[in-house]
Amino acid sequence: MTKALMRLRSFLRNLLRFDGADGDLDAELRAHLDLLTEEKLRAGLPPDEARRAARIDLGGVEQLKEEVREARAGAWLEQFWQDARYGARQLRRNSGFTILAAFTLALAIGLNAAIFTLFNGVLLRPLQARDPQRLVSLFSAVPGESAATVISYPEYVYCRERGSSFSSMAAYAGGRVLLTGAGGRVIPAPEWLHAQLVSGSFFGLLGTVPALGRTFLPGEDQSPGAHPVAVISFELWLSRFAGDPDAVGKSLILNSLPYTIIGVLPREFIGANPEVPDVWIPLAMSANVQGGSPWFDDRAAQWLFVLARLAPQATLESAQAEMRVLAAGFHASDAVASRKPSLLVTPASFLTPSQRSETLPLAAALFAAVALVLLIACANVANLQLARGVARQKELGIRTALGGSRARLVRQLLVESMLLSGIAGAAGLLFAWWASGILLAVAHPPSARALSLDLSPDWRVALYLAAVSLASGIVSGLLPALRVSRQDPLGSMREESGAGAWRRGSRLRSALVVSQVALSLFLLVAAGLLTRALSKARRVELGFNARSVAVVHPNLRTLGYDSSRALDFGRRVADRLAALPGVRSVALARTVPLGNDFSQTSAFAEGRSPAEGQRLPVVNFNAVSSEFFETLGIPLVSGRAFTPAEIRSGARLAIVNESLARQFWPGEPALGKRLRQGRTSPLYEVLGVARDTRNVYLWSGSLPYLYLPLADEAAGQYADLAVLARTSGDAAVLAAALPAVVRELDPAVTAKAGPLDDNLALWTWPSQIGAALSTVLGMLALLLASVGITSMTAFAVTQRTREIGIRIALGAAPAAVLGLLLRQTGRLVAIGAAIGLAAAAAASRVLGQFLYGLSALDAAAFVGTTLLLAAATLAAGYFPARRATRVDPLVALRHE
Amino acid sequence: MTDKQTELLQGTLDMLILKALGLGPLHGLGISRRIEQVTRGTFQVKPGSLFPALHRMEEEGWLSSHWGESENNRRAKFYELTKAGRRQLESETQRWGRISLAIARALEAS
Repeated sequence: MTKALMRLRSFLRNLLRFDGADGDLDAELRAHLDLLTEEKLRAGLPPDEARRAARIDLGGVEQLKEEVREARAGAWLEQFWQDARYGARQLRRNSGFTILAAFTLALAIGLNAAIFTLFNGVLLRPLQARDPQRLVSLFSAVPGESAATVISYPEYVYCRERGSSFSSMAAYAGGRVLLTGAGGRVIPAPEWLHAQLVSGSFFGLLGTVPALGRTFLPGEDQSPGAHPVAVISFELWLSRFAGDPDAVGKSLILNSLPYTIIGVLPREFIGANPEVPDVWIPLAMSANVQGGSPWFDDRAAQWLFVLARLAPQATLESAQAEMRVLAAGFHASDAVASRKPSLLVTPASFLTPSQRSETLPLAAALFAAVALVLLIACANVANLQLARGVARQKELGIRTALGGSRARLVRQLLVESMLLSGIAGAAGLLFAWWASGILLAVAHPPSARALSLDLSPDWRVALYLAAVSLASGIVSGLLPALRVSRQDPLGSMREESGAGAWRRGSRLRSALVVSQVALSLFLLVAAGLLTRALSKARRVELGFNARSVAVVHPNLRTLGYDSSRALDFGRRVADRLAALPGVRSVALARTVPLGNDFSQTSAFAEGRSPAEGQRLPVVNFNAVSSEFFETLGIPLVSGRAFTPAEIRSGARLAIVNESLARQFWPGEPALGKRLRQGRTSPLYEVLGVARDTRNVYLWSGSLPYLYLPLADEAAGQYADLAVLARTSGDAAVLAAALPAVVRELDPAVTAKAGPLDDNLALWTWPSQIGAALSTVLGMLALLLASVGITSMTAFAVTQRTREIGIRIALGAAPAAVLGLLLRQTGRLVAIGAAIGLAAAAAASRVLGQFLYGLSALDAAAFVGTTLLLAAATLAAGYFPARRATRVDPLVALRHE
Repeated sequence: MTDKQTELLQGTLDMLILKALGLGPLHGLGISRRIEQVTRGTFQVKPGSLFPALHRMEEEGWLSSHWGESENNRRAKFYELTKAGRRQLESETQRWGRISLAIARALEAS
């Protein structure tokens, strides 16, 4: 066993007063007594007398034991307190150093803690519920495949009725509802609300206590459509009922159906989703929210999130085992033999398993970036401590001469450094609290709801902060402490400090500067790449013209419009729009390019039907009107668009994009060929081939894509419909006028409208956030590195005053002195930059997926940031170096 | 007996213990007897100061201990110098040399 371990063990043993230590001491003292007795016997005393004399010699055993205990446990603690008191005195005395170092560290530690606070809020914190550790989520997943999906109602019921692992289960699904009336009054400007359909057990499972009224009764989610009751959020209660205590019992018109309010949730309620809904309604009311026929009997409709509470005797593993058996039973009757889904039981969390696996790499990248900033800050503080160490040489020398061992000296310097990082950590906590709120507010997609996360610091944040502070105290303090303590006391007692003292530790200082430069260049290049990619994404060749196109989405599905009425309504809207001044062309489509929704169907070429049991190939598709290609400016490479007559007659026609044509009929013209949408589907004849466009994903342009006539019933339920209009003027101006046009046709319909360009923002926001964040981090890193270089150069100038004075006295020109100092900085910056560039080039491959079509070795990003870094660091070195040229040789030589 | 006894100077006990162990491992009683013997009875180390000192020095890493057999086949806890303890003994000896020389000179000078 190593000595350190042994001492740690004995320290702990003494601290905790384990019996072992006392027992050993007892034995030792008894042995001592025996030896003493024996000695007396040998001296000729009779046994009784000998024992008595020995006991007198030994003295009070208990008192002795207490003294020993104090000596043991005390030695460590005593020294620690001594060091801490001494360190605090030192820090107070050098307040300039302390403030600069603590501020640098606080910034970096706070940044780390802020990111962790967000991470904690999203991923680590249990749901806000009664006994959240016992809550689990259920997902459907094919074993061996990573994608996990939500669950169908029949499967939920099957598990609830047969399972014994859970004391209760709840299901929920999201939805949007249109609020048109509240408390008996009509709302003039209807508002879209975020709704959650929940089973009657939902609030009971979470243990939610309403602020007002009650939550759902189990009977209220039994028969479809029977109980139009609603629980509302605290915010909705404030905004629509002005906090009226009698709001319970009043009515709410949602999607044209009157609901009775039965309860109001507390303000701090978050529930199962950080996008907190405005209103909760029973699952049995789903037809009113989702339109169409309810999915309660549909085994294929996977639409429910399922939460469950583990029964007292159950564990996650036992529940998982049971659910696997139940899922096998449920799917036993499925027609497909292979790829049967099973059930996945996970600890309840805000994120689904697939969201979690998408989030983790991003979080890791973010943690790595802020860790780099922290490293730079540590290097800065280490450098400051080294510099101060040279100034403290005399003090340390005296301590060595007075018998302080090197280990003791190192320990004392480390305690001082950890005291510093402790102060920084405390300040960092405040910074983290403030910054995480700002980050949360800034970093969510445009048009999305703000997230409600609990960002108050909990034990995880405290632990993380303590660990990070401790680590940065050691990282920034250990090297300087080892370096500074290695010295001979005589030399430091002499009145000597000049160039010799400066040289000592200068290699370490140089290494620190090099690593700072490398780290900050690394971050800067990442920021540069993301920024460049972003500006490129704005100019990306979409394959269609998104500019000057306005989109309007009328809300038809929830108003009970069926397919033909919806289509008819869409046509009337289109006619109205076409008559507006400036409108060039109007089209109808089921989905909008690069929008939130996209539709998929299976498709394969005639005669190439996949073997039985094999997966059908899936392609994205859109159902469009005849003007769609003209309105969006998508050129047809061959063939033609659908005619209105073909659409009305329901002709089985299709237009494919170039990629689909190439994939389905390689080397052959696609025109006139036929394809199927499923094994039993009729054949569709290819009428035209359209240029590839970025329809679904911004970054991948050549995915197979299918256009079907808007009226084709195979395109499914297209009651959700978009009207697109190209204008010769400003799309935003046109979009603003559209909802009113829609309402003229049916006052019940509300519509969301905006320029098509807005969809681009949705796709670029992750890299926008990434670019903004990495720019901030990169600039912070550059600032820290510059401060480091400034202080190092300034320190070098002070330490070398005599040498510089001699050089000047001997006739060196000020420019030569300046050059001498700058060359030194320049060399370090060059080495650091080379390392940083190499690391950035290696790591930029990881960024590849966010760099729309940008080479990972983009020259502009690399060269630009390197120049920026060179300019900043040389400037940081220049100003203190210039002071050296003004050294008066006479003063300098008298200096010591 | 008491008139011959001298109060231990602060810090000298450590040095005496280190010195006593310089020749090899000893148990507690052995250490105090060795100190008595080499100082010709000037210093008598009582268990009340011996054991706290031993444990403290073990904590400092100067001594290590193990249970063994005494000369009369009794079980006893033996102490031994570690490498750090040997270094400590050297520096304490040097320091003591400097101090005693300085004090001797100071006393002669007057």
